Amino acid sequence: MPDKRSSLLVATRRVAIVAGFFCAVLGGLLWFNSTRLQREDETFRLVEAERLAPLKAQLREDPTNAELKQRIRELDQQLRLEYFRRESLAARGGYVLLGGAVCFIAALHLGRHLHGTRDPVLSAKPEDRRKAATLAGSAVAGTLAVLLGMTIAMVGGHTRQWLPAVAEDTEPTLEVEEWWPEPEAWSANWPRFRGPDGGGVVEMPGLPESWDGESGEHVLWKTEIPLPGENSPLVWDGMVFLTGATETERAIYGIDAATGEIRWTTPVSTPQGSRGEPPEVMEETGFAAPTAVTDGLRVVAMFANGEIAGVSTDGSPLWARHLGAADNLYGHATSLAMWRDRVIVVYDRGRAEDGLSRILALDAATGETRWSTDRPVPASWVSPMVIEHEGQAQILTAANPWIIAYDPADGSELWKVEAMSGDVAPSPAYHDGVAYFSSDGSCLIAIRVDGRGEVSNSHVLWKRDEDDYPDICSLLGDGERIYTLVFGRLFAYDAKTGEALWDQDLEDDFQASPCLVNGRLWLLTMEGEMIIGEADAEGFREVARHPLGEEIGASPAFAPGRIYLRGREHLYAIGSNED
Amino acid sequence: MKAERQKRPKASESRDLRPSTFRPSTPGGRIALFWILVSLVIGALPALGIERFPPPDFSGGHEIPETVVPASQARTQAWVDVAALALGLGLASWISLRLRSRKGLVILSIAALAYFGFWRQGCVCAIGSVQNVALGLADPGYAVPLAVIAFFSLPLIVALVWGRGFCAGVCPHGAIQELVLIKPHKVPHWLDQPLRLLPWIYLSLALLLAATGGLFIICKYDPFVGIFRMGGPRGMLLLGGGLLVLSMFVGRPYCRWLCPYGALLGLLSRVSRFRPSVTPDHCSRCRLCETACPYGAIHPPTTDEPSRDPDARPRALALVLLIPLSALLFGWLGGKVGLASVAWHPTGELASQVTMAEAGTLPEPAPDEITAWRQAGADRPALSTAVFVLEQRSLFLGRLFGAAFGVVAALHLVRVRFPQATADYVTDPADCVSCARCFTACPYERLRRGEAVNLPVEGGGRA
Repeated sequence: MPDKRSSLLVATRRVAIVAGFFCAVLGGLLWFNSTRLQREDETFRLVEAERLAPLKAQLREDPTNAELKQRIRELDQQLRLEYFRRESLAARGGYVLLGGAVCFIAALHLGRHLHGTRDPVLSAKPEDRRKAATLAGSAVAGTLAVLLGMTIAMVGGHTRQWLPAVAEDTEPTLEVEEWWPEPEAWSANWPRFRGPDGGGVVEMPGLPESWDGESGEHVLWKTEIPLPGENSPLVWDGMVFLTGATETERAIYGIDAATGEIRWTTPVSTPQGSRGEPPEVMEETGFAAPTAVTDGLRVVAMFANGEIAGVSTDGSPLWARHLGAADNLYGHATSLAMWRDRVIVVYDRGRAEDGLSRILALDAATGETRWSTDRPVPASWVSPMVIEHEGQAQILTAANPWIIAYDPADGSELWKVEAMSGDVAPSPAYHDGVAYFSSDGSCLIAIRVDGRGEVSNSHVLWKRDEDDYPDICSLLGDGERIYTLVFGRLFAYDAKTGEALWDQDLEDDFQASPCLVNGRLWLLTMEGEMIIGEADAEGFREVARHPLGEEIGASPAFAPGRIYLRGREHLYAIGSNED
Repeated sequence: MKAERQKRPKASESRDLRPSTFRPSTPGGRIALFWILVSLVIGALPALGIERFPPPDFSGGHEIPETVVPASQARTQAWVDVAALALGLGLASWISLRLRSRKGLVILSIAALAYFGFWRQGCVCAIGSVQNVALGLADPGYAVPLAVIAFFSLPLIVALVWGRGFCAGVCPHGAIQELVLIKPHKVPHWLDQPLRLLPWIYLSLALLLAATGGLFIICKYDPFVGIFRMGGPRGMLLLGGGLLVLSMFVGRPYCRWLCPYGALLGLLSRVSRFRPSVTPDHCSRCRLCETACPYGAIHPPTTDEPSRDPDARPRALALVLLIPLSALLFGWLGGKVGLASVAWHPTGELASQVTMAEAGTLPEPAPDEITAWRQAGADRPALSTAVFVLEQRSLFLGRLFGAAFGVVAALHLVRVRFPQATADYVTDPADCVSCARCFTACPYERLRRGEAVNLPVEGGGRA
């Protein structure tokens, strides 16, 4: 038996050696062939170029030459056959090499088995596991440290080379901290919902006396907006900004105020927003009800699915975030506000006990959260208003049941009043230290804003709860009177006492918030008709009605000599044609 | 599962464990063998690179025939593959845990290598399926075929119950390395353990790039698929050849230090219900199993009293401190890597080239991608937006996978530095690939099988 084993061992050794040499020689030949092919690759192309190309050129000049065609075909076939012959040779060689390698490995295994060297052999000394653990632990820790250092070195100084040079140059400017527009620039434009102060009271020179959307009278341009939205236009230095969205798409638009041309469209998408289920919204609310905000450098827009994005005013995307899925019966519709370089977001969701509602201040340039404060309220639709009283800036918010004022510097509560009930949607009015809030089925209340803490019993100037109050349209106040639009009726109250002064049936439906421009009330009906009138303590006198010919849910935006109206499908610029 | 208990022999019966046939081979023979192997592998590489030779370019006048789209592959083939996988997994688990047969696993490995490797050419592959699943989760528009989901999930499910049966005899990558392992050398523990972090880094990066829709690096840099297909890029073949040469002397280098799927299998194997145990009944600490294991997956005892674990308190403390710290640190770093990875994404690469072209720094001729983009309308804002969206996604996913890696790295460090107290030689469930070598080395296992064995002295291995 030992003799047989020895002779078998010798045989396997010989097989291993033969197979090894066979593989080495075959591998060498294939290597040589491969190198030759690599060199001949160029020769091959040269042959093709030298022999075939002139014939082809000749054929172009003499396309009916049958003999020439035949020669080209033969040469073509010759080249192809040569190519496939070489390919086949390489493939066959590979398989033969694999067979040789299998023999080689099998012979080695068998040889080691016969030789007995596959059986385990004890090392001289067993390993001290605790010592080995210490050493290995140090090695792992060291590797992690090296890994950290190397990765930081590799990606720490990483530049976003895929960004255009212009954007990179302008980026530092955008990231300058604590930049915000001059008050004059803010007031001269229409940077947010209901104008610079969010109250809808402005002086605007040169507004058109009349217009007619159907005949085109004083309609400077009319532009179709690709995606629907109930948000209102913003105006800043020759550009108009608005947003649109459907279940699957969201976009911010920059429109040339002079021509109506859509200069840029910036889609908005975040992984969470795109992946998540679209929110359920009412058709009247849609997916782009919140009005955006701009400071002249950036436009920040929010959508019903919880996505919020900042773009520069040339359309370049700056940042995008997802603030969590909206849980809102009618669809999220709260517009954005801005204080200095911070975008104020009121994101009330679900029920109060869900603990989802909060107010945030985001850096307009980067989208980073400057502060975030939880709100003990359910979903609401009131757009926040930023006011300043005796040097203290305040963000006025309202929901069920709390009316709360926040410090925009750090998000802390300044004062609060328990007064609201039901679904709270109308945005407040403010004048000279007094804020006015109201909502359908609740009350109309005037509150002094100089309090601290809960001021339900100390700072309520007056409160009425015996009338009908608005469900959507914001309050309008001029210091003397408070106006509300309730189911087609215009109501006026004494701002100082809350006494009901008068009401007038306008026989129309309203969704847009009223404005007080150049001392006159501008009331935009859902049919698209602008009712302009004068009001005093005695009553309302209608001055004019201007039809647009398209339904409207968004509030108007005003600029010197211009009115921008967003219909269901189009954006209109109304102005004097002579401008 | 184990054989009936044998009567424990007396310690004095024998101490000689060396097989009587042991003879060292000659140095000259070893050197000759080594050079044959090297020339074999180097010679084989270019032979496989047949795709490099391009077809002739016939231009001018020739009408390109209408492209005929071949019929899609029959779905039955995919399900045959899944059935083969399920069968292989069942057999591997049964052979390794029940039969405890090394021979059976070798036969199964050969079959798996032939079918999943050379016949199916390494596709579908459980290792690469990780990327399909990641992209499917990140992109609702990408539908992952059911067969791919099966290839991803079946080995993981099996690992959760029976350990790494997939590695034992089903994975063609493991099989090819297992079969060429001629003369295993042990890698020191201090080197082996840091290297075992590499699969996690590779996995994190692969998931990041796959989930952002960039590229499937596991497939692109698969070392063995070029060998299975008898052709491929030179780099791929060189890597595969190099790993095969290494595999002749070091056990499964790809599985241990690179395979991203193996990292997942190892993680799940830690909690597997059934695990291979070296000895059927009694461990005499003879160390033969530890010596036989080429993967460093059998650890020596740390204590004589298993109930006393001196490292329990420092381990707990290290876990509490290290995990959050490491998750935060690597999460932050992952975000940076995520942003940098945009440059590897086709969209990021295109934007980069466009930016260079706009700046006049892109060498001529312009790449095909730029030409195609220009012909499609050169929509710069759309490209910027696409890159921006990609950046946001990469940042988020980079932080996520970075934090996950941080947790794993911290756990690994604590596990290595403060190992669990054991009184016997035990297999590491994560590192063990169920190759069954230790069974055949264990004298008590051999006794159970009825072989004539000289049993060791109690504790003889530690003498």
